[in-house]
Amino acid sequence: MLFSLFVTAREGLEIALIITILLGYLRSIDQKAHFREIWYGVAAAAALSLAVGVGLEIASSELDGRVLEAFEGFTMLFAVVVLTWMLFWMKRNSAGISKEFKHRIDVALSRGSMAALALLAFSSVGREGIETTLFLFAGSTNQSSNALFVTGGILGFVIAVAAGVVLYYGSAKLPLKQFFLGSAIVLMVLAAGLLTNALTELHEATLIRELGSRPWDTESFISMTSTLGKFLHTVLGYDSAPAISQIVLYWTYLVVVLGAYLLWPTARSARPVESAAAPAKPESLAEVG
Amino acid sequence: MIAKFFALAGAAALIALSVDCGSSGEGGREVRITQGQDECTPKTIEATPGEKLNLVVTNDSDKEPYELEGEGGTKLEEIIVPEGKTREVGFDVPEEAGSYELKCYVPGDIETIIEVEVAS
Repeated sequence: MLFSLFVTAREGLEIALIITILLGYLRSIDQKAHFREIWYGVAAAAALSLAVGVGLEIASSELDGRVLEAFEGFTMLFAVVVLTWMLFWMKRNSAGISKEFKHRIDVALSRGSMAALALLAFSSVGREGIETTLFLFAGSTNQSSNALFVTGGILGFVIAVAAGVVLYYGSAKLPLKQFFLGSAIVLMVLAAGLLTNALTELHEATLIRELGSRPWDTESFISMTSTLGKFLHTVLGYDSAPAISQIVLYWTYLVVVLGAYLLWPTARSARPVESAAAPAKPESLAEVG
Repeated sequence: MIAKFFALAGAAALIALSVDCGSSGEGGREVRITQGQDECTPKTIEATPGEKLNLVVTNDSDKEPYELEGEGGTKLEEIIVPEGKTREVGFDVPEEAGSYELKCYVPGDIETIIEVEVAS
């Protein structure tokens, strides 16, 4: 549940920021009539993300045995790659996103192309939506309760929507830089856990024959079948008797990726994002870094 | 506003954590299962309707990953037992009399079906 909550809160907030920038700019240039096209694009992106999720679920339900383990393992690996790439991309390019959005809105309006407005919302929100779907699917394979996993996901989106509403209508500043930095670190920890889980899946699929020796066994302290063990397994990739290859992969990813992320340059220094209603509207997503 | 936002997010995380860390519902009569080099034993387990079993599974082979899971619709959480290790998993025997299958196996290698016989 906590896994899905973290993922949807973080990714949902990115989506909320994108929508806030688009709507905020249209409002500032007195083009609220075109909100409709933005929402069409958002709805289409949501539908696409949902369709990807349903497709993954159907595909996995059609598989069994080693093929299913391989499918889940490779999906986890792909999710980690996409998530890691997006975190770095967002940190590097966030400063210019707002200007790019505004430029594309101006161009669309000047050409009278309402489809371009919808496409702008669709492509920018859809990218985040598919990333969210992929990561949620990869994390869902280790869940003990589907209902709790879905509840956590919904709760995260509710938080993101609330934050989006505050940004659009409110006058308060949200410390988004701190939130996104913190959540990025949390997502990397989740991703490291997914990596070791992927290794386990590929081992079960017999695509990896040996995982190496197991230097310790903490099963008597935290059992893998206990609720706490399952929770830690999903969130941190906990294994009561991890193989040496899992340990190395986990810590290598965390140290290398987290270190690189913290050192990765942002396009410019960040400052808190203000409400879209305030005079200083979100000029960038630099805070996302 | 900031405090409210983070209070909301924090409360949601705490709720999620408390729900995630709830009771597992394990326990019950202990039944030992041994994962051997060529098969799993015993091949039959007798139980009463609705009984709780605590399956204590030992991988007594040099093979991995050695797994135990429900088969043919039997609800048992999958466990993987590393070489030389012992793992436990709770099994809630169905209320209906009949035979229920558990699959004990190494992918692409050994497969033993353990029958859980539930008398009426």
